[in-house]
Amino acid sequence: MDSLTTHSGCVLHLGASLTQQFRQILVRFCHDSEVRYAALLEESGTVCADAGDPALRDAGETAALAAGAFAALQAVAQRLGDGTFEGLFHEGKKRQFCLTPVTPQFMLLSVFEPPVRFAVVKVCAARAITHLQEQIETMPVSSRAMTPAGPGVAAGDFSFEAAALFRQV
Amino acid sequence: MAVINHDTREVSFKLVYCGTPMGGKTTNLSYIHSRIGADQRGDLVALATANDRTLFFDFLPVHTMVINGYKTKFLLYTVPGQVCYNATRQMVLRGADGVVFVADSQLDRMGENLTAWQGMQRNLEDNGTPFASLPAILQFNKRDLANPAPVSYMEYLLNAGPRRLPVFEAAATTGHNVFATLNALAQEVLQRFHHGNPRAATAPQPASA
Repeated sequence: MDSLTTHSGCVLHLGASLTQQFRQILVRFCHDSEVRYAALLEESGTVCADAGDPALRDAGETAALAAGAFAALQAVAQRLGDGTFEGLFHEGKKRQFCLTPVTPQFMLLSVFEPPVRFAVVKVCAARAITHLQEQIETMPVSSRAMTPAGPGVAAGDFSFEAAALFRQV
Repeated sequence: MAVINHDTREVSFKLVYCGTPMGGKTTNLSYIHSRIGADQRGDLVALATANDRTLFFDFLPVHTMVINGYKTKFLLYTVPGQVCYNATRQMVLRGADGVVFVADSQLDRMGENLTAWQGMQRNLEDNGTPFASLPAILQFNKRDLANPAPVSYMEYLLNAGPRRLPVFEAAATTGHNVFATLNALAQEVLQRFHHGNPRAATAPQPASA
């Protein structure tokens, strides 16, 4: 089961081997550029794959904020007449990060610290993005079709226990 | 959009709380954050103005093992209610798997309820997500205040279309029906996911907290 379906209101279906391929690309990117942490994010704020310092992982707060900031800045760029949004870069004293578009739906988050230079990260990120795009694009077209639920997600594949929903304490 | 990651054995859903300005969307998330086990939630992130009005969104990740063998994450968002933040609302609604519409029960807020209700549907349509196919719950909040609007009147205003949504009368400040609202939406989203058909989901019945 290794497919990817992308459509608002539908299911993004990440198979184990696809996720591992994403992760291998990110591991290589971290190694080549010396970024401390890299993550492939989906526009709704979900981490699809990541690599690097596990201390920079969280329950999803960073991904949600990053996806929101990315979408907001992209919208600002479009409103100001720039349809070719190339991402954003934060130059902090202690830590720096950049968000770069991979496809209209995915973005790459790269976190790094001095003395790693943005120019180096940018070059390495461009290479990683090409590989990530290849992985996304080489998936069978049928797997990327706009279906209500991706292949392999049929009735009964995932059963759920309503009793296990949330209780207040 | 639900995201299934077979490698990490996680399924994620995005649930968005929309509604009337100052209607109690952030209060819903704050209450959930304060009353859910720490092992079932992340941090509550609030992007607000100096006077505590939501500027961009609030965010709270919660999770459970409701799907067998998979950690099930619900990413809870609120949108800013104020009219001027329409573009932001549309952005936050992108990829939503379900929505809660939080309406204000005070009689003088009915006009704003209606405006926000229509605006939410327009935002969803503009995002390519027909409201008719999206799991949704209506929450009539602030029932604890004096002289709330009759439920039948609010139903007439907001829930008289061909699709009748489950309704919860709530008081988010005290937590009344806050968890019931969350669980009802989660259940509807899971049913839709389970059946793999947006229109196959059966609306859950309102339940007590």
